[in-house]
Amino acid sequence: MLKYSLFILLGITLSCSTKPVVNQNYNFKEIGSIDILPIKDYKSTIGSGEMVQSSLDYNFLKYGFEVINYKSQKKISVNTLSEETLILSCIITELTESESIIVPYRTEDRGYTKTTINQSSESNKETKENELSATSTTTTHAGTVNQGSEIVYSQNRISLILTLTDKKSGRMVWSKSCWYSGLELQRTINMCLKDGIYELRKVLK
Amino acid sequence: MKKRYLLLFICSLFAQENNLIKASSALRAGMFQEALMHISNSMMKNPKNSEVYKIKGLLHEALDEKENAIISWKNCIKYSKDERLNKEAKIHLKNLLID
Repeated sequence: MLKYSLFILLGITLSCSTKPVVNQNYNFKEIGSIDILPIKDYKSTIGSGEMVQSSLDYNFLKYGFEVINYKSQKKISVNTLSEETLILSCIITELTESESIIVPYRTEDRGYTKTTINQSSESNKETKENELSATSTTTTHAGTVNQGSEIVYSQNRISLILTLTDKKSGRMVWSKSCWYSGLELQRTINMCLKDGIYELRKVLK
Repeated sequence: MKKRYLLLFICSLFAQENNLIKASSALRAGMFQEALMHISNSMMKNPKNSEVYKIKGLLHEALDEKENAIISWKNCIKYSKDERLNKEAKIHLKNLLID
């Protein structure tokens, strides 16, 4: 049953990448601390786990949490009066370094339509009336599309899944997936986690 | 007169091509300020390219120019017809507007 509910929770998290999934029955006000599990490297990208870990510490500090390094394990202090503990796990689901992007650049000339109107008035001596005559000429020029130029650049992309589990019961209480792209890897990781920690702070404070 | 216009047109095409080459080189070298300048110059000819607004947004973010990044991502959404690009722009906008 627990496995089944965890599977559903993960499925919802993956399908909705912006909003976190929260267990509404859980009392987040009673949380004393959060233990952070060591983050594993993504596939063969050595050091990626450590990069995410340092960015996680940075973001927790930025949002006013106290980060404790206790017996080589990271801990976040939330409320010193409470003893309830949550476990935070962070999984790197995607890490693309220096992905080459080619943007075809084209300029469009949308053409134009030119209308020339010639007006003239003549007086008729026999009928003693003025005659007004008008002729119009419309010329349409088709546009052109020039393609061939391009901008080449490389971008980084990271996807993460953050999960909070109650230490005593093993219940998963909060989960969020996030992804971000950018030109620099560390900044991309920072921005990705910024959103995650911001959402986490909402339920804790 | 026609020759003069043709010459001007060819010159503007070469100038744009030159700007794009320079922008790509600057991006590869990590010279983001320089890349931004060349991209802005090349955009004068085509100010409705959503992909270029995306690059501008990324460059402004890398340069810590939050307000300009927000403008670029908003323009990216405005001119984009690509759902994937729209989603990416919305994620960037959301993160930039957090603080």
